[in-house]
Amino acid sequence: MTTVGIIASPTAGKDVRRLVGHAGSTGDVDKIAIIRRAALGAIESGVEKILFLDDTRHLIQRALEKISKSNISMEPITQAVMGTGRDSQKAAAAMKEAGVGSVIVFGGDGTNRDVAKGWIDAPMVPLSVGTNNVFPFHMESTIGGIAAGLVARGIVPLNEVAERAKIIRVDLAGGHNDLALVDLVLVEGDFIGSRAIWDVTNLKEGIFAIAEPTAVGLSSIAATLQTIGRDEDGGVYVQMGLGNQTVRAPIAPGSFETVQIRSHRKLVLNEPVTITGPGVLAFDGERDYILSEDENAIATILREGPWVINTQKAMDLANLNNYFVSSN
Amino acid sequence: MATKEQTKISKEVLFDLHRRMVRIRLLEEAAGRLASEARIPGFIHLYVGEEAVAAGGCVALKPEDQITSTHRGHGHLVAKGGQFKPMMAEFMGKATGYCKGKGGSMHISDLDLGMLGANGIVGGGVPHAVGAAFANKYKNNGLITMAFFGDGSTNIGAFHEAANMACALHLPVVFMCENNEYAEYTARDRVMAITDVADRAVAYGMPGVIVDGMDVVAVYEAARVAVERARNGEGPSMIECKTYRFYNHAGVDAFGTPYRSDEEVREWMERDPIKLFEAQLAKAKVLSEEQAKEIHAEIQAEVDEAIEFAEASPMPDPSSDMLTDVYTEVS
Repeated sequence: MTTVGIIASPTAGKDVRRLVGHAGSTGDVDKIAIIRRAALGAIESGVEKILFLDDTRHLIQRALEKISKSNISMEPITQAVMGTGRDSQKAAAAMKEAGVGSVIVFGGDGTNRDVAKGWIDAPMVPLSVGTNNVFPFHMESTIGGIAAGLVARGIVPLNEVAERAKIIRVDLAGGHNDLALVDLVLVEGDFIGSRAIWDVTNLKEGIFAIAEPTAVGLSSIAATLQTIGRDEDGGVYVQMGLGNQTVRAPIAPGSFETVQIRSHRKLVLNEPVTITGPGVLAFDGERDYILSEDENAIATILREGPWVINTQKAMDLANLNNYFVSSN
Repeated sequence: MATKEQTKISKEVLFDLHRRMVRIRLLEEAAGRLASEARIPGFIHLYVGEEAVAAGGCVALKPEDQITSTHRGHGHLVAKGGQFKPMMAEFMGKATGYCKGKGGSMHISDLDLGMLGANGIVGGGVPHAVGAAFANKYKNNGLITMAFFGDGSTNIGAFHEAANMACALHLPVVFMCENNEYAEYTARDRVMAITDVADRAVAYGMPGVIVDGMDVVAVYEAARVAVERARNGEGPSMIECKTYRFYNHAGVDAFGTPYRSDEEVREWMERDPIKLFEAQLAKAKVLSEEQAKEIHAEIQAEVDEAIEFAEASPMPDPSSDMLTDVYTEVS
């Protein structure tokens, strides 16, 4: 049974960045409509089943309620939900286990990171409903849904319309490891707190797998120095703090800051960089791990991430094959 | 743009956040014990579990700023600088209490501290906060008002009117929602079609954000920004703190209630805001386990002293006090 998975972050679009910057708010009613449009797109492509994470807000459940179930099976994943990123991680792992053909992910960089942690090579359409997101697409979900369905059904081959994303693999003490999809930044401080970062004077150093000048967030700092596209191998390493340069960068929507730069250099794939504490490691812009004094984290950019479906390519290929055209 | 000094919080602030939370916890545990022994009369609504909200919010304020509170108001007064002796005396209805024994647990206030009142009416404090903010703007005195309220309050008409007016008049007020998922004994999803109170903020015309209400640093960081916005004339904000009360709506029962499962209560207790913060402080080498114990012991001694003081205090004298403090005296 060809299946599309749907995972949505219930908290995307509601964090403290609405106060510290000028990010927009995305309420549940909007999210439900966005998810419903993607589900209708996936159904239009002819998939037989939608497997979904029934999150703490029941966003997807509520999105699917108003869809006729005559030609589609809809099933929630059986798992306890706690309202944390771990829900998305577990759901992604369960979708892999269930043989899902592709996953539509609604959320920001953080949600996509959680999905990647649960299913590292997931075929996915990442759709933004959050804040200053770099990894997911800002696009109409109806088309994202169709593209995901076309891949799940094998109408367009995954390897022709998708690229494997880069990840920043982070090896921590005690044999633990973690990953980021966009950037890993060490900031001064001892607490995770509200996770977001808006004080650029506390930035110490960062590794950037994506540094595109059209994005906002911490990666925009690196992008002013060295552009690295998502399809381009390698990355950028930047040391921040008092030095010979400053850059102006949009570190949050509508919020430009002057950042002191000590040095920067290009990184090649598989090149390890050691980051030493103390400080807090921010994964994809969110503080998440307290690095103790003298504790090391080894970060390496690899092309071993999710298969990100290029919706333009998927739709072009389907149209080239006249998939949506019938003879009378 | 918000305050720059963010991820590095001074030790003084960290100690302050910790001390205010422990003060709330130990006073509340004692109050609950005394109420269950009938040494405190009437209903008692304990703030245990929600300490990070009051502490994080009030540390972000200046001492002269104002707050309004709820029927679960002890924590807010402690966080605003309330002293144990007059608080405990007020709980017991004694003449030495903050309101001379006439307010009790649910109507405790101290205008000198800027604590404009706990309130027995759900949502009743929010219009008071907006009124105070209007006065502050009119007087141009630079003060801001922080309204603490629960998720249930936001289904009350008074809340809607107050939030609308605050935004329409661009008043210096911060709306601090303590979303503990239950309005008295009713689960939030039985009376609300949305999950996040913060979703409502946009409809009034103010930013609304969600923070982890069990993480005092997260609450403090967001509160600082909202306070700064209000003080800079940028208008109201809403912060929804996802939190939980460990005890029943009233009284000291944590488990065995029909409207929420014991498993759920235990899960939230695992995220005890004081234990979480003490673990963070120990990891950051700011406060050791031993030092934390000493602080608890010191505050417990102050609580015990307050109980002795309150129990030894006289009741109000009906013959002389019955009609005083009922009406404002016109000067």
